[in-house]
Amino acid sequence: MTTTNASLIGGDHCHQPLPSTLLPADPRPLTPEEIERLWQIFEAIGHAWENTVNDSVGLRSTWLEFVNLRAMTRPSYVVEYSNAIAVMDELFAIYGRDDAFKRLFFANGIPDGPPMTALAHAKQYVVNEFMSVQIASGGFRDFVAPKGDAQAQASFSINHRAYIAGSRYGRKKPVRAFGDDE
Amino acid sequence: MSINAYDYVIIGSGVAGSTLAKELLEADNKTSILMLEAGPVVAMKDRRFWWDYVVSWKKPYTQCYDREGDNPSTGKTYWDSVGSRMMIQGGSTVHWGGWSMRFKPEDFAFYSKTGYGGDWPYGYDDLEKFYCRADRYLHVCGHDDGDPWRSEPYPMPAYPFLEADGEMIEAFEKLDIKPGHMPLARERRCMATGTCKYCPIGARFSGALVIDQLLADTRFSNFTLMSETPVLRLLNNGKKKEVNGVEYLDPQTGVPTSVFGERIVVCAGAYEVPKILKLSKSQHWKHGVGNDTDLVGRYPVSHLFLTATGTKPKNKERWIAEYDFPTLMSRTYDAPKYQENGKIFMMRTASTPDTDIARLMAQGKSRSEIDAVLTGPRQMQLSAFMEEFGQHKNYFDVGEGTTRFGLPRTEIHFDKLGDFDKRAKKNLDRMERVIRTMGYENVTTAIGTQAGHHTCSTARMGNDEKLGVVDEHLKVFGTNSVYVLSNAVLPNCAAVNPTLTLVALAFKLSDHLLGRGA
Repeated sequence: MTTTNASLIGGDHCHQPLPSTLLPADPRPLTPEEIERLWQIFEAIGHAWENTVNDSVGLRSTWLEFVNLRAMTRPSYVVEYSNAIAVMDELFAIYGRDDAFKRLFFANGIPDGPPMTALAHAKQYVVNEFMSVQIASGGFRDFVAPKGDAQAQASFSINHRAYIAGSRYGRKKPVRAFGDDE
Repeated sequence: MSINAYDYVIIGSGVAGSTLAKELLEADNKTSILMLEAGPVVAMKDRRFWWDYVVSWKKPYTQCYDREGDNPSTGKTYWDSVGSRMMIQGGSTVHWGGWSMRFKPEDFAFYSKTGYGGDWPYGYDDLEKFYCRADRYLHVCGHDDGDPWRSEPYPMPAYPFLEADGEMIEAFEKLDIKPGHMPLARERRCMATGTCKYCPIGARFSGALVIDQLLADTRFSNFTLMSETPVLRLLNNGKKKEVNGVEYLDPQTGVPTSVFGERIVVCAGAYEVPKILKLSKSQHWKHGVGNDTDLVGRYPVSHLFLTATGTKPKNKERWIAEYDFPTLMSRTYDAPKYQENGKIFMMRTASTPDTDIARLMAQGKSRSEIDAVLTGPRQMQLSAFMEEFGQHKNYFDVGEGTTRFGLPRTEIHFDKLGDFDKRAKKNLDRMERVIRTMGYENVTTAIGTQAGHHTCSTARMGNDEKLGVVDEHLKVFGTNSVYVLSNAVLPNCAAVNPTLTLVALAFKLSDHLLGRGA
């Protein structure tokens, strides 16, 4: 399933027109409730692509740094985050939680180009960015690591741009290295 | 000391200016230095900026590049300046890859061997000890293969070859090409994020970090940086040799303002140096300071970028780009016997093969669709810098109008040598052979656009004023107080990134100014 040829999902809130640029906001801390609602989106990405374990909890501290910086420094994302939560509320109400995420990720009907609706804002400024954070902070491993060989997987070293791979002077090289070369 | 007189006025805050300022201040903490930088200050090591870069690959310093039209190209060969140099605290080291290769001995006798460009007033052996200091200063990670010779080992071990380098290493060996580790300016604290264009902890060397440290150091109370302050010209103080003033545009008032220094060091890069000298006209310098023999701005050279690219039907190992820099290089064709043709410095392109998984997810591709892309056709590319030969008829001059930084536009008049493409073809054939030996198909080769990334030679060193603009100590001929520390002074660009050589020259100049050594 892809986003192409799908009809536009959502209702009145999702279809609300907006300017394409980031919605202006004064920086402020996110509330615990907002953090948990946004975390549901991040968690759902791991479920949809089956590339994280334990509901992505291992990536939570990295993700928290990301959303907190986005909320509390300029340009602040707090209005985008509030909008995304409202979009998810409407999608949950229409499709139910599981189907809502599936449609949002794979068949949303959002036209190509700058985001001009509340739904498109939520997808571009929140969901797509969470995907980048998820892949960079470790989600890439499952796509690249050897399949079906637990031992090979456990000893597998691999780096990715933006992954904090640790010191390159460690006993274990942080990359797939060629030969025994140092 | 009057309020507007300094021991040194340094124009430019890039790797040259920052290294020199640090050396002078470390030698005498109370040295008074005014550093003038045309560009702004952009915060380094900022986590928000880093995350912005990770999710969008947009850099926080994009506004500091040249824009289309800033440097009109008037020669037969279009010279592209966009994205190649930066007006910012730290200069172009803010965006550089940290590649830190030395020039080779034959590069110091370029004119004698090719009939183009210029010879250095001294040789590799004379600069070698300064290269060692530059290696230590930049924390260069590398592996000594003896070519060129070095008196000290690299201060840090090389990054390992990647598994994805393996095919090319094997092909190199079959073709009698020597593989080597890319020497890189990375500190020990590197966390291997692969986001070196914006490092969250400043582990890749940048002149901006040096300036931050100098400004924060309470010992250096006489060090002042003025950013967003374009220099208009140098001022002559009556006698021809006495050029000890600088006129700049005050960033607060917009009014031209004068300042004086015992010594003026122009560290403004190969675009700005010739314009500053040419604009500094007076009764003694009718064509600009140091330009009595019409050499200022002439002989510009850079590197042409060559590529050979091939495809294999499958990427069964699911190789992706693990670092933002190449780990495999070769200097086999960067050797004396290839100098007449134009030497090349080759590296495996770090971004091949790669798959942007997050982008595919954003496009709504399913797990199985992404797996198919990851294991589908694999592209591999070999890249190279090819050295260019300096010609007197080419020049950089003062263009009409100013840029948004308040700097005069640069007129770039450049004609590629008539046989360049033919000579480049020989190098492309060598590169194509590598890709074919690796078993790749659909091989294509290309010569990139003439660009300004490593521009050199616009105020070159020489033994006298008929051969150069500056002497072996980088002092402008005919003056007793103006020095140039910039890629502009290099008589040629060799086949490699010139930054390490520029840093070696910064140490050599600082020793000279401090009266150290011979």
